[in-house]
Amino acid sequence: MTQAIAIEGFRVTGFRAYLAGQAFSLYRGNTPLSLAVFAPNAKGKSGLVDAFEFYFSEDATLRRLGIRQAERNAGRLALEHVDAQAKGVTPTIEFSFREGVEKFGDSRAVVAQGTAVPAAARRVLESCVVPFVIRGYELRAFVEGQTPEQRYEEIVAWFGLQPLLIIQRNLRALRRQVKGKAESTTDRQERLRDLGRITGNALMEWDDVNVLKWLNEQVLARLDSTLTVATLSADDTGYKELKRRKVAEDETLGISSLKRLLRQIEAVSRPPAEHAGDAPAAIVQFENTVTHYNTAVAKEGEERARASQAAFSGVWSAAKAVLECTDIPLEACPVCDMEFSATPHGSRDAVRLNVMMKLDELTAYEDAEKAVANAKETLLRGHRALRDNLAALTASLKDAGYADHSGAIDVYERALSIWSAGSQGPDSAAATSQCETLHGGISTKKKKIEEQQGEHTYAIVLTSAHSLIELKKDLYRIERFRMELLQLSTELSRQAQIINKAIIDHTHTLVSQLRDSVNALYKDIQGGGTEAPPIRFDLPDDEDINQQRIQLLIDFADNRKGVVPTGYLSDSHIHTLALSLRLAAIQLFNRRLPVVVFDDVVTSYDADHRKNIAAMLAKHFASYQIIVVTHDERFFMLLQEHLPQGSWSFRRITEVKAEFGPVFHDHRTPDEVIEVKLDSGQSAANEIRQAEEEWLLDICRDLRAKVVIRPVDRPYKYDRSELAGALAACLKDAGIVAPLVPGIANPFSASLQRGDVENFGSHFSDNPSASASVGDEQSRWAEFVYFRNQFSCPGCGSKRFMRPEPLKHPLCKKCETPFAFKAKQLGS
Amino acid sequence: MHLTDDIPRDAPAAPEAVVARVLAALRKAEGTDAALLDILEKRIVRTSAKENAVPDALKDIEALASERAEGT
Repeated sequence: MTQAIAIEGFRVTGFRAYLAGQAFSLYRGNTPLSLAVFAPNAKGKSGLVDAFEFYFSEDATLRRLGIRQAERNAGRLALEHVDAQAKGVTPTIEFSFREGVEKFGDSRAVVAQGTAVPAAARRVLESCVVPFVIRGYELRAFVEGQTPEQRYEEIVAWFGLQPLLIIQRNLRALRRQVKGKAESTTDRQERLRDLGRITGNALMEWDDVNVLKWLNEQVLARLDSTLTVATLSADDTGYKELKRRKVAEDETLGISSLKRLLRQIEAVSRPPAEHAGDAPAAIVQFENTVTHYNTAVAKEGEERARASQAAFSGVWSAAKAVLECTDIPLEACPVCDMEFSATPHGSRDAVRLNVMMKLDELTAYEDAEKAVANAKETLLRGHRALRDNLAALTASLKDAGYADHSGAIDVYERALSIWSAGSQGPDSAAATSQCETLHGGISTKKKKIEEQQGEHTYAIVLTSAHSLIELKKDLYRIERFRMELLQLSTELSRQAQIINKAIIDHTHTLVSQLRDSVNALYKDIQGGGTEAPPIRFDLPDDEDINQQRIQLLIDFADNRKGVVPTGYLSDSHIHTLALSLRLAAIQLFNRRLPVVVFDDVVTSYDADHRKNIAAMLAKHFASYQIIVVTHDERFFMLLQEHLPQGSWSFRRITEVKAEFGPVFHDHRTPDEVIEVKLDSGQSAANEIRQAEEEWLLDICRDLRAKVVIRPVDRPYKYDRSELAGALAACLKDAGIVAPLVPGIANPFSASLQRGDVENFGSHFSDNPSASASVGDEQSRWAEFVYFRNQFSCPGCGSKRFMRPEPLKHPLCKKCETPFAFKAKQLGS
Repeated sequence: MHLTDDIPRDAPAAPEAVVARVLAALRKAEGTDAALLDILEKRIVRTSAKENAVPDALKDIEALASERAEGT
């Protein structure tokens, strides 16, 4: 089983309003925590949501900032805290996650050029189909701003339907193309144009009877009215007779012998212009083999000269083996037994190289020898073929009465008979020229005879009959192919319909699931038991050309069904619909990431709806990790009221400090920060005063010390003296005396109460004109820590107390032991 | 379900499963032209169709029609 991913925590540094790094833990023990943050506007609450968006963004930016463009987008530069660079802060967002027992996480730097999506973010995104950050100002776009095409794109992405829609689209295209091809008459028309050409446009449509009638009456009858073709087939008796008469006609006219002579001449010497693509005729072939053979012989001669010492082959091979084996120590050359230094080569390595070169030369010689043998075999074959062709040609020329025109060919034939391999081939120029002359003359004669016969020859009739037979075959083939394709087209439509239906059913099932969830959420947010108007997602019909649309409609009333929501719903209803849609999609599709981040989603709502949203979160999202930021204090309080304290953390931003960033109500300055500064000789006056104020506020709250309610514009801004005075009064009322701090004017709390140092944040001195020193600050810090540590339970050591009504004496919050100072207990 | 619980497997069916189911049903159905279905399965009805799936399928169908036309 797969486990859900939860956010363990995140840290924001140098980002938006957050200058100093602030960590947000979203786990309590092994329980994931949800977080609600309240802050008035411009106090840095949205910066937290920005941190989420930035960390998971593909482009390392926010949607509303984009990539920087002059006067259009602020770009990534706006993500960085304006003082980050000056303060030496590296802007970074860090996230850590848990998936079962496994923890993972990493950071993403905030830089102008952007950074790649961190691996941990990528891993989380793989479990997330629907964006889980919901911003109030973006929410309504899905309902109001999106076109059906944009909505389709978004929902398709949620459902992961893209592959199925590609199948639908491809099936549609294929059906259209197969049908088009099956119904196409292009091939048939092309062949019918051939029919028109053959029949001199007498026939433009194919009909066996008409075609036969035309052939018999308009063509054959002019030669012999008794000769007819009964069927357009090569097996037809009339057609066979026609073929026989054509052969006889050729014989009578002498065309056959002229054709044979032309073929024989072409076999010996083909006129290049007429047969450019054919293999070369016998003379050219022979001359090519002569050249090839002579080249091979020359090459063999060169290699033989180089390898004149072939007899040493065995010695060299053995020497090479010895020379290459570096384990064998050698002083002298293994071939000539001279010391290496005395050889012409001078060293063992040079001798080895020379031996290798000699052996390579021997190999080249052997290759050349083989090439000569091969070339000779080809040459002799070519010679034989040429002589055979010449003999046949000269005999035919004599028979046909061309003996007086073949002198040059005869001379060439005789020269060829005494030719031997190794010499140049006989000069073929005269013979070739004579062949050309003969070919031209015989061709002209043949053409003349054919022309003298006019249109009515058996040869022409046979050509027509043959073309018609081929045409008929083609038309039948085209028709059979078309019929098969039509059948396949029908079957394709049937199969495609079944496949489409399965996809549509699947889509409808998913959409129904989404719709049911949307309706349930919608109803709960609107509250008051109001039935939500049924929501519909209408997909286009199967045959609709534009399939990639989804209409979001509602059934507003019996007589207003399937209407666009914006025309009928109120502003809050539309907001609810948008919110329900997104939440339903998250519930349905983000199974592995039960996390939702809300940024001010209640703006459009009245108090009742805000309450409903808090209740809806408690009811439908109890198992989710939720981060809510809001400027609406009432909503924040409603969340506190409705959601379980054990799995929620509720925090308020009280102020924004320029040198720090947003300060949360529970923010405490860590001792380490002060001690690191003091140890390094830096002033920590501001931090010490801050720590004192924070501690005083906490202890006053625990002990329910009485303070004057602050002005509305500074609700949390208590001075130390005010808090110290309230604490002293509370202790005094309980009869508890504050402990003495050794070595200084006591009691310590008196200095706090007097407020002598209130206006001197940078140093601690009762004398306003005295200058501060790090030593003073260290002393002051030690005194404060000592004083603070006295507020420790004598029973369990806990530092948290309470004073329930009507008690005057505080108790330990953990073990309820009555409060007593540690130092006093020790008897000091 | 709680965040720390295992996720139940009632998530929507994957496209691959939808495709596999419909192909199996078609193959079992009486009268299905198996050769044509082979072409569709190879070229079109798959979750990772290639860019030239349609022209390739058309060529395959034409070849099938030719083969059958020659056989008649």
